[in-house]
Amino acid sequence: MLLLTLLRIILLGLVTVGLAGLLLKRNLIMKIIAMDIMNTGVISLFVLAAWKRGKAPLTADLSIPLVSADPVPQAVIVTAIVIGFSILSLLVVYVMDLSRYFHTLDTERIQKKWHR
Amino acid sequence: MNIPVVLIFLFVFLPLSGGGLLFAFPERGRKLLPFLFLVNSIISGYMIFTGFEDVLLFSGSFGVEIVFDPSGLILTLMNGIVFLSVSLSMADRSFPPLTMALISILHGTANAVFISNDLFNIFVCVDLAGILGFLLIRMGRKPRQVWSAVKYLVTANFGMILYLLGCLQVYTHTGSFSINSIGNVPPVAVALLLTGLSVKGGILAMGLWIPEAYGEADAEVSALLSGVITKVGLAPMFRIASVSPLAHGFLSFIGPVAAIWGVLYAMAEKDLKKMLAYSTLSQVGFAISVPALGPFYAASHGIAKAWLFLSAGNMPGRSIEYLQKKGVELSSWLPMVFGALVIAGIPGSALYIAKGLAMSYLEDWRLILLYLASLGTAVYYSKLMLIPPLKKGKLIKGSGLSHLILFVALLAGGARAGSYGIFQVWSSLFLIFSGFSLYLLLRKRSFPVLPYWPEEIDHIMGLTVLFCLLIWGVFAL
Repeated sequence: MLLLTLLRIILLGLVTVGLAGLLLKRNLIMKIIAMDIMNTGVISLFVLAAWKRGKAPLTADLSIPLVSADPVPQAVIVTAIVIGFSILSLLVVYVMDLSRYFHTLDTERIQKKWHR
Repeated sequence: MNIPVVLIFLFVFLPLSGGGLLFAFPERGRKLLPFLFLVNSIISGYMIFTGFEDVLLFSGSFGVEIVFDPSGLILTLMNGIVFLSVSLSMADRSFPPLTMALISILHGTANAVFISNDLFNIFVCVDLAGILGFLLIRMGRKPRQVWSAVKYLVTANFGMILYLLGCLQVYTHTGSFSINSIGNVPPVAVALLLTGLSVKGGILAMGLWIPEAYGEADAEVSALLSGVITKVGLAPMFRIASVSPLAHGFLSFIGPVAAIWGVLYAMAEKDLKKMLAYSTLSQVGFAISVPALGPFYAASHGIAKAWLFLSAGNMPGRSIEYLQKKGVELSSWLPMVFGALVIAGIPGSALYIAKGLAMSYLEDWRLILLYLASLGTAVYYSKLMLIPPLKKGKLIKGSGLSHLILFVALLAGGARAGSYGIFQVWSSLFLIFSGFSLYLLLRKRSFPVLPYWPEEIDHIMGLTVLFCLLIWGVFAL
């Protein structure tokens, strides 16, 4: 149980680090990396949540008490990983485009140029 | 014949797989696509008419729950109508070849959000809709569009990460992702879910990506964004609010505030498309004030706003002052003025009914705020009514059919017996008239301009976090 709590604290810390990077970094690439860190933290929290409730998998022999992970959060989180990855790759491509137009990746400078 | 399965095939499977085929055969499928949208809107209209309700659970326990009920079907009806008219008005213009495929997939995705009752399924579909919206916004490949699109995707994805955390909370406490089980989850879960969705739905500061994105995108895309993608964020909120009293209280508290806040932004705006975007922010507030009636309001607003954006695409310019000086052709003047009157709530239209119903459910300070917001709506839409029509030009041009469809849909929504009491009709006419005269009085002075800084990307995300903490704090008390 101690290990579980410790892991949860570490992962929540990871999410917080990602959040801080997303809010405080001005460079767009750094923002995107921070967003990915945050996303990874949330995904790992899902995996951790699967650990907590032990249920026998679908094919197991029910007479033997098996300790195993809950398959549902792991099954659904795969989709979230794929979505996170696709958004990340799309963003990187268009940030490349942006750097060609605005010659900077600093969000404040881009917004200043944009607003004019 | 299993009706729900057929419906899912038509609403979700066919548009998604058709979109895949359209990537391969862009030219041939283009002509067929409007028929699919037509069939979907007719079927959803018929299903609402017959009062069809059913629940389908895909693949047993832990499966995805699909619900067909009036509140979901009215949004699929709106979805069909908006896509039908947009695809018709795109028919006589040239667009990049992949546009039609994206639009078809977006239609299926939005339908999937409107009918699903499962938190995680909603997450996947809302995120997919976000990606498609991103690709559509940057379609014109102008640098300004690329920046608004990137800003949209970053903020929307950030919102969805918060939503995912909320999903996790719900799962650990109930062992299921079904919305029905959300009644007594801890407040933090509801706070996270609602904040995540309100970035997509455009509520208060979380929706401030909207003005730039709508303002920069092509007119047809803006119509889709405002008509459908905003509603993709709102529809799950209505479902959550119907089960969780916390969410219900939150939405009905924040709704009138959002309505008046959007009005303040819209009054000062001088750019036509951005004004329409701010108006969306305000109308979303109206829609969530009474969550039970939200789907009907959101659907009527989606159709009306799509109409306004489509007619804004035919204008010679975007600055309202310029348009007021030069005037516009009759073929774009008529839809613009009708659309403006509809959103201001003229009797006989769908939004008149929706507004009347919403206000009849409220009584305290919220009613006063909503009245003020309606007055403000009439004030800023008066800007459009002062644009003079030009005598020359044909009455109906190329995309006349799409305008006709939207017009008929709005009229049909307004046909509801019992909402035309003397007092209601007169009060709404009085509101529009006094808004118009107020605008004439105040026209020479400049309206106070609200600050720009909340629209910057960091501030949107920061305010979202603050907002989430605030809701959590209030809920926990």
